[in-house]
Amino acid sequence: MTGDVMVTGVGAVSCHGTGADALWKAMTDAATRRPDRPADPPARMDRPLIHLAPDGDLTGARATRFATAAASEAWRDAGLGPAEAAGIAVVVGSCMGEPGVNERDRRGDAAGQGWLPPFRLASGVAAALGVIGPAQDIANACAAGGYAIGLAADMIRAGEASVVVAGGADAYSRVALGCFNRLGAVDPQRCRPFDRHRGGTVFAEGAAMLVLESREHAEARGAAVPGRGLRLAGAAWSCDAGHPTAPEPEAGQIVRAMTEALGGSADGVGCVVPHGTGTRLNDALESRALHRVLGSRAGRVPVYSLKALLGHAGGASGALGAVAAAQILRHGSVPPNVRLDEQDPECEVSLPQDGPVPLDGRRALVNAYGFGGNNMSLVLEAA
Amino acid sequence: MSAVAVTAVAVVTPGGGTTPADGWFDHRTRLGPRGYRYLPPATQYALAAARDAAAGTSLAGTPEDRRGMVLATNGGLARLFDDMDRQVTGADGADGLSPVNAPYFAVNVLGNRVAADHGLKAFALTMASPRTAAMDALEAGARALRAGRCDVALVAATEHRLPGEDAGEEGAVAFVLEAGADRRDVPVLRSGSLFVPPPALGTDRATTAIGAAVRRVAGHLAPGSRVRLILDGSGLADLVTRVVPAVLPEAAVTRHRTEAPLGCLTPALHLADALAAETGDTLLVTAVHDGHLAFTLACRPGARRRPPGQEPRP
Repeated sequence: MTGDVMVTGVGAVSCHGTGADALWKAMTDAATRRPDRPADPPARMDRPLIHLAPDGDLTGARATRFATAAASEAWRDAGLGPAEAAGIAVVVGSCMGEPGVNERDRRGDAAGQGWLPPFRLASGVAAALGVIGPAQDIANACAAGGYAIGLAADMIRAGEASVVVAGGADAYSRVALGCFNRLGAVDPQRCRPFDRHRGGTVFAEGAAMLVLESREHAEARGAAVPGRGLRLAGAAWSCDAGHPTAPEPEAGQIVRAMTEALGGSADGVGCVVPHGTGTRLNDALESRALHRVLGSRAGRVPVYSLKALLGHAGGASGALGAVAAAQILRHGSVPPNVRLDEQDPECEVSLPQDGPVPLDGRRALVNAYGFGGNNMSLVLEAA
Repeated sequence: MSAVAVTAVAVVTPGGGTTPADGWFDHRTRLGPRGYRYLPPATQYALAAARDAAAGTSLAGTPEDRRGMVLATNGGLARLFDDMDRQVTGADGADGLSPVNAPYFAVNVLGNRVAADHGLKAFALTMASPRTAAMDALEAGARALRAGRCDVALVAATEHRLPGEDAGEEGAVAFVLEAGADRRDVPVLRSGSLFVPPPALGTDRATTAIGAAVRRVAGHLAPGSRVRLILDGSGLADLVTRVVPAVLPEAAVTRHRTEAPLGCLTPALHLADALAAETGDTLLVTAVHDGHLAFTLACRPGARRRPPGQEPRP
């Protein structure tokens, strides 16, 4: 075995619609989108702002619907047939799981039942695809989707599976948005990462799923040209093991995750999809960390600030970053960022806004971080 | 699916079971006089179990960025979330939420509090699939060790009573895992998992998959080995009850009925008990009505081991 893990299919759901193509169109359009206000009358909070996916039903298993839509698209994109073979697995990351089934007046089909386990996304995806195989849920906050992709890669390299459908999903949660309000972490306007006037983040709904395969499996079925294709070149994890919400001031662990994912060398990095949430401290810290990792190229490597376009999709965000990176590598172009009002001088990164930039490099670095100090970096590489 | 060594186990539960009870846990005596009062109870239980498990192991002597953490929970914060939902829909709205508890809307903060307690910087992973999360966490810890993500992994399962009635599970179990399938001085574990969609229950494909999964984890157990089936009353449970003894005809099989609502603590407690109370090999199988299954083989010191080279692959 080569140990290579290939990305053979992608799927996405966001506030801009269903489909990785819809995501790419939104990326290339680079339009500003104001947050939505969910129709949730019982909720009382100052800033009930979130980017909703286009699904009018706020009740029931909403995150599962997003996850299965993205997974089904990724499965089709990979050109896979019925999921009847052995060696297929599903790993889904989420911050909240399926919160609606336990929140008042939002339970949908679960009304009248007692408490239900919220993390049921992996089983929902596996059932929708017809997979009989491992199906596991990861609850690593806003880094969950990225962790799921890393765990999937480990499963493939360990020979436990040949194909893994992995990614993340999150949907509106009254509790989560209320807590973010309480923490004073919601920007009143929109999600403005790296902007001088950013005031916090804005949550979003969404899902992103990838089909990961061993190179041997992908090449044997003709899904990858021998020696070529889109490869998951690195997936590294770290933990600050400190404050529940504040990042480690020296950024040592996020630097370690990026460095390990890159295999110790930043050569060939043509784009970064950062975590970049719009919170004051985190964006500046990630910018400084990128300088430590990318060295003299840090000011030139284009940073594609996905959350400025989509908002912060919680446990889906790392996987959405991976799908965005896959699209950038497939198209050979970094789309323009949603225009900033004024870039923060504390965030010295390259944020092209005037038009697409040709991709200069074969690798894309994706970061995702979460409450509790969970850090994750992925590297996708086009062979 | 290499095995890993279990170098410590600790149980913190009310009276050795998982049934919710009052007054059984005092955070002041178990954790310390300051800094723990306002933590969610499931966090307190996990901290206590982790401290008990870590004491005397190699954890403290391992570099921090080589220490990993895997936490498992299903409803550990369910009661807190229900309280938060009541608050957000009440007169004071979100302004009335406790700022100390607000970060816990992200379930993993529970495990990250344990990571902070022990400097677990390699990673902190939280597994949450219904009922199987603790066994999934053991599998994830083993996989992370094998992938080189850490040199030692602290795995903990924790639950707290559910909203409304005092139902659910309560307490925590913690394990310390290290690489070393060939260790002869401590137990070793081997794990696997499976999902069978309920509509597939009557198919040959489901039966074959369960049998194959059992064989991958357990191989051919020696005579005298034990199997604990930790099952609910579902159709999947019935299928497991038929398939597992057929695959392992020489094992002594016992069935342990579980009831909804679900939690991941009971299987972890069974494993801790098997490691402490039994000799030889024990295979634990848990399954739940929605389709999740998990398998953990516990091999005590001196029990027959299959060499890694004979392990079947999918």
